[in-house]
Amino acid sequence: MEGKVDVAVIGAGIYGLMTAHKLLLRGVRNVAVFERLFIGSGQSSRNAGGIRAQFANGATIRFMVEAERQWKCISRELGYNILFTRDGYLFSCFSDEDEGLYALHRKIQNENGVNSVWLEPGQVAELVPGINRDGLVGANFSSQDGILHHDAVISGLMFEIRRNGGKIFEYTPVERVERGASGGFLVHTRSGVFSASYVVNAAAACAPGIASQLGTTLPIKPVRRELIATEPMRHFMKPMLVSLKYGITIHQSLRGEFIGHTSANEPENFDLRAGFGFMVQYAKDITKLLPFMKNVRIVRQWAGTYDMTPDNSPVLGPAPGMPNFINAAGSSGHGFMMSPAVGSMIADYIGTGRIDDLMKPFRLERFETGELLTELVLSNRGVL
Amino acid sequence: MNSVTFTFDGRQLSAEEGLTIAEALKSNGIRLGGRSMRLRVWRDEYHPLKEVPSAWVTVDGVANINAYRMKICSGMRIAAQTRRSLLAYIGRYSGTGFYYRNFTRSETARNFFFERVKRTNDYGGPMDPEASAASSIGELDFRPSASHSPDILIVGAGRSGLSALMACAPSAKVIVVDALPGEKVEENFKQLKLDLSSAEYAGASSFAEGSESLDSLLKSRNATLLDNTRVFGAFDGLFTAVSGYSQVHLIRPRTVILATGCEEVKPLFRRNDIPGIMTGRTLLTLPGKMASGARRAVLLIDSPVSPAYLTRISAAARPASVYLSYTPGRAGREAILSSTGIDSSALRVGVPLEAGGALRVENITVQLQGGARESVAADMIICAGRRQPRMEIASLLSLETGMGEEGMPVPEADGSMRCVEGVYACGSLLHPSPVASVASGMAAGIAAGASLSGIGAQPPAALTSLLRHEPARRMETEHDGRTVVCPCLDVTLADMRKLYSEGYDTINRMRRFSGLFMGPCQGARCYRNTFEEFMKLSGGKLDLPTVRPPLVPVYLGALALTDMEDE
Ligand SMILES: Cc1cc2nc3c(=O)[nH]c(=O)nc-3n(C[C@H](O)[C@H](O)[C@H](O)COP(=O)(O)OP(=O)(O)OC[C@H]3O[C@@H](n4cnc5c(N)ncnc54)[C@H](O)[C@@H]3O)c2cc1C
Repeated sequence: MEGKVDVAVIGAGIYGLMTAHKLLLRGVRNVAVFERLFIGSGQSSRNAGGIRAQFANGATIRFMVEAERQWKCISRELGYNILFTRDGYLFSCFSDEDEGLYALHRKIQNENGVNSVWLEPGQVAELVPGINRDGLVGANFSSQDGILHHDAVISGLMFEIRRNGGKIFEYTPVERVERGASGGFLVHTRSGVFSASYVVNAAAACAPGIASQLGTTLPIKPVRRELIATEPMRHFMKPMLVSLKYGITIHQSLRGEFIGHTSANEPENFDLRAGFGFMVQYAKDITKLLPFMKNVRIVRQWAGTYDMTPDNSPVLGPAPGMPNFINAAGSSGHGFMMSPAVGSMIADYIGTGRIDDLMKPFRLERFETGELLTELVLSNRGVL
Repeated sequence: MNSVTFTFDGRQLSAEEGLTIAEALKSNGIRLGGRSMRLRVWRDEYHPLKEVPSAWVTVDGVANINAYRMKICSGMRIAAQTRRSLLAYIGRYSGTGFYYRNFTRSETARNFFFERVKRTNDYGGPMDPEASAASSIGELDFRPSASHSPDILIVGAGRSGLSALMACAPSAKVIVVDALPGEKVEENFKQLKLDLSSAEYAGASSFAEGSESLDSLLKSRNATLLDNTRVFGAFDGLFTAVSGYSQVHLIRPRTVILATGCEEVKPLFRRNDIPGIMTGRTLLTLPGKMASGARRAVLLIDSPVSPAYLTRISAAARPASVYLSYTPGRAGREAILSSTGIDSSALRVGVPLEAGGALRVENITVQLQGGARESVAADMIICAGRRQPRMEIASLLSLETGMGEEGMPVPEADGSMRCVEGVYACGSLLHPSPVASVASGMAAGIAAGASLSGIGAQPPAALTSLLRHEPARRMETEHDGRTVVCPCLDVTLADMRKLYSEGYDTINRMRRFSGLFMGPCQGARCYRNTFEEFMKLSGGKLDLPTVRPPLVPVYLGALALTDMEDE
């Protein structure tokens, strides 16, 4: 198997698939996605499907607002229902000292187009019946945020890309990338060599290995992240609930299962086995936050690999000095929500050569210049 | 008959004394739990007396009581924890039971149903959070965890696990874990003793010495039995189990013997999901009057099973005819006739093709040896002998279970399973033959003991020859689309074929988009049938579905009381 493609995308995760999809929409027909395992085998079919714009720095918030705008249209675009519901994200606050910080977050968010508001404990308990009100001060809440079903997105993209003539090669890892003639690249895969005018590096935590072959250093490291699903219960909790105090995120799926996470010490490697320590920690934490949960049973636990950068924000855009080698990696645990905007902006860049203003702050050079996209609270309390 | 009065969701009701809560509600026209989307039949019709996932109620403020387990009493205040499922109605218009696939086609349809589904969905909700949060009762009695570090952990106290225990060195400290209550383990033990005294098992009987009773076996082998306890995880040498619902056990063994055995499953045939069709095991859990209510029971036997088991099934159902999907030897035939008590003209060799009936089974069509078809009236169909290995723990440990033709793991030439360091697999997990199950258990016991002492030991030749015992071969049929492979989510063969042709071409991809293995039984009832069909579709390729802990649902309350200090 050999060939010539306009764009070679490495990795069939949500970044790779969205980019391929948006390229095909722009009329770039000769697109190939190379995937080491099967479509969505990375984080993209292992996440919680949370979509939010409640971040704490302007650049990220503005990007997310654009992404949320695009998510609204994806079901129609793909002809495949992705089950996007906007029931909000609720950041509960259990400490008087944090109240000021929450207010600051709201201020930045409101200035950048997010409708987040402060809720009193009574209002919080209305949205989350059964929450432990001991020490509960209130919450930040935005009804713009929501939840979607990641498997539906991945599957919809897979069908749409194939319908539009794009190629996805599964079980075809990219082993080496080298510069070819006239600014292009040679992509060596396990099943043959492809020449490509553009390469999009969307290999998540494996992206640094590919970038380094072209002399670029990506500051991305893998970290295991786990989720737990319980048996289904009658649906009663609408928003995604986040607690900084307990390090927990949890929501209730359409089918009624609670899907959640707690911050635990996880290894910085590619280990995908579930850890018992995590299961126990989750049980201890969640039964403090939502005491009724002790009468609910866990049915599944699984792990994925986060691709973390020093400022917990992705690296997006062409590599310095290599306009045709584009990185889309390092999503640091909130990449799914960004993906439609990532895909369309990278496709636009390949089509026009222009970098979208919203994407500029995410360039790799920021780690040199010090213009980091650091979050105020979330990043150092384990909730991403 | 006396009647009792009680309240349900605030309504005053009465019912006959002695009924379960579910029966009492039913007599008032109230049904708990969901319906099969495909058949529009209540799910409790399928699983009488079993935990219907959606039949949870709160009684006098105590949450999570299965309405099928508790008898109604006068003055009870009962509250529903779940509501009827709208999905049951939408299901009529959709293919498979998988909830989001149903909604993936049209956004208009989704918007119409979505909010209501969220509000009314009852895919087995255990409790009403509002009620439970409001009352301070409703607490289950969770206990702090216990830690063990035995030399040998035997998972499963069936015939193979107990055989392994018999062959264990007396100096080793052993823990035996089984999901069954102690009395049932006792029964397993008695059956094993009985079998060992027969000529077929001659090479193995010497190991039974010093075990007159289960107690004396446990004592002489320095073993503790944790009954009513299920292993739910294996993490880097740490095995986790839960006793009842309430207590977590952390077990760090030096060696492990996996003797998790088989699960009985229904064979594939058209309309194998209508009420009235059950496995022998299910039959034996029915109360006597329900089982003997059948006037014309048909027994399907898929592979040789023990005469004692057949006797119990036949006592409960009195079969009018028996179909074997394999050709038995002379002795086997005699044993079946005498243990079922049927006339030899009612014993035939043939495989089921289709069940008939509207809301309950009314007849069954069978293809006889030679190809002729025969249709007989039946109001109960009992399927015995078709078994699928319980491979969950083996899969968690990433044991390479080579998958054979029918999705059965294939043992090595010497009868053992390729294992990770220090783990031995045995029993019907590997060997479809009951004789080989016993022999492989003993071989595992010897090997485990030898690995502890560091001195190699070979099982005696008489034992290894038993390992090669072959069961009779089965007759095969073709199946068509209406056959249900996944009884939890109503996935049919036609669904699988459609999914495959649409590009869902691996088991794992199919799992994500059909819900296979992800219903309340977590795959326990669909592995084997699914694998068989999948391998036909893929021309023999099979990727095993990822198995994830916990293998059985575990209460967060019990996990929260787990002490990880030593870990
Ligand atoms: C437990 C968990 C919960 C999460 N929750 C959320 C959430 O609620 N909201 C949210 O927005 N995000 C969430 N995320 C993060 C989100 O899943 C990721 O940010 C997003 O999926 C990243 O997409 P990706 O395409 O960059 O990476 P991936 O999906 O990991 O895709 C990378 C792909 O590249 C392939 N690959 C690697 N090397 C090669 C090679 N050499 N050749 C070919 N292919 C290769 C991999 O096999 C993989 O399929 C969560 C993540 C985890 C793990």
